[in-house]
Amino acid sequence: MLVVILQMSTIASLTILVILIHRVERRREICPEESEEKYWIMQTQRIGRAEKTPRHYMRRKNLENRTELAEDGYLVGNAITDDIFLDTSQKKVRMYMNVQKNRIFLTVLKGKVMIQNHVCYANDKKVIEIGDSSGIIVDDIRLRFIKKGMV
Amino acid sequence: MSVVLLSAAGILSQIIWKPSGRTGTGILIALTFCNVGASVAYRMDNKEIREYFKDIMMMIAVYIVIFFIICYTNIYRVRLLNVLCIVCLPLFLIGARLSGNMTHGAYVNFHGFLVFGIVLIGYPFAAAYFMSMQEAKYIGGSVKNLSFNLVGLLSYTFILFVGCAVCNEFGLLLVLGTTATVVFFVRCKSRQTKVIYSMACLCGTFLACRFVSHIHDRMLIWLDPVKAYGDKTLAAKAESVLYLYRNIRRTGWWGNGIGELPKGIYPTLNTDHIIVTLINDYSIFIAALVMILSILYVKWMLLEAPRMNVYDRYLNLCGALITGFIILLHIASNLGSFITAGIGFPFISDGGSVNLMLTVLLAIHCGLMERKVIQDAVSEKET
Repeated sequence: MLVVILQMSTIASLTILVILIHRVERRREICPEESEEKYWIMQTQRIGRAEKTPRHYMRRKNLENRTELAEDGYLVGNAITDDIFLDTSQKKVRMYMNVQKNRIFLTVLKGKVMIQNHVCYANDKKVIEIGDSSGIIVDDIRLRFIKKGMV
Repeated sequence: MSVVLLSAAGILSQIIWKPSGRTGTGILIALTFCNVGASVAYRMDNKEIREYFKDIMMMIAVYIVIFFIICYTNIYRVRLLNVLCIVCLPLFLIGARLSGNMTHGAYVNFHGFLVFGIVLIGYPFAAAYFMSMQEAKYIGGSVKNLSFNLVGLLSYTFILFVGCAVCNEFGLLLVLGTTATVVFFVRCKSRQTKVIYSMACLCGTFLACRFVSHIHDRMLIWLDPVKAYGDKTLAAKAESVLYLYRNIRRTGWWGNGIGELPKGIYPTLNTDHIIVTLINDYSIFIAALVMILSILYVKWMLLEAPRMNVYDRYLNLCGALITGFIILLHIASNLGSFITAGIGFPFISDGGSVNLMLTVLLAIHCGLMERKVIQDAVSEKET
């Protein structure tokens, strides 16, 4: 009888412990974006497209957005699977962005991108260094990279 | 006595260092596992009890030292120490092969320390060092190929693979391989590279299943248990792999009672077969609760403190992945899968070296979680 009581009480106390830990942890969950140290701010603005297409007229101009970037590699493009999604009107564009503490390296993988008034076509071997306050135009979106702390 | 001691250790750490509530959760789970381990071990004489307390004291001391180093200093990030760690791990494996004695078919000891524990303490630092190297160049010059830091990580892991194969330590090889794979998939962005890597891993798995004898035997048992019982070479192995399935009806919901498992089938009862022991001796419910607690423990270890840098993030991730894969492989092998046996359950299994290793990983995680909190508190005081 004693063995049964001890067994039941062990099971009950372990169950209570598991439930308590689970409930406490759920309430304390931290948002994943806050967990990395951010070094850069990427500011985006819709500036409008040179060619007027029907889709162009359905989009609002001058919309702005800001996102912070940690030291990591990001795929930036207009595919849903990309790490940073740009809602552009162009067919397909994708860039690999290698964000480091003091520099950003860009590689155009698909489509074309205007970097500091030069048109860069897709070339997976070409790595372009981007500095502070540099501007990039991807179709109808302007991207600006600002070093955090310099705003 | 062990309950009092372990609870006191937990309360002491809470009072002295004033950690956040998050650190307390993991320590509480680890202490619970230690208590379950004390119940499973069935220590009968004073010598064994003294050894057990010595192990616990060692774990507490190591936790305090590592926590202090990670939380209050930057010593662990010194480049020279990381490079020394990278160089020493393969040397430990070679040393175990040359100077160690064979235990259950593997060269697992290096002067009294389990190679499994030593390598898995050092690997997170090595992986974090490679991942925190600045990724500026690529093999062949193309972003679609591998960056030098990923190549470094994979090459280094391959060197450790060779060392593990030489020592016949396939449990360690599996844990290292799965950890490196997850870190690679997290960091690598090229889909093409990931597909090629996955195919290489599948080929490697196929070769391991075909040519590594005990993985091959366990797979044969799993595919055709009836034939395995009839085979003279496989029958003994089949007994331990399939014991749970054959006897689950007799065991029932509430277990058979303490000490009922035959030692002839399970010689390493209190190290490699914890889940089987819990199901058979205590009940399925306790085994299930221990497994749920272990999931919560791994989930807790995957959490990151705010504003961690790259090195700390990967150090934390590798520690959590290693703990998670150890638990997964232990449960899988106990429930009769074809995965190799020989991996203990964290803090429950008997084994000073492995529990020390897991204490180090726990202390690293707690130290990283508390680091920013303490730094912010200090800078607030100064202003």
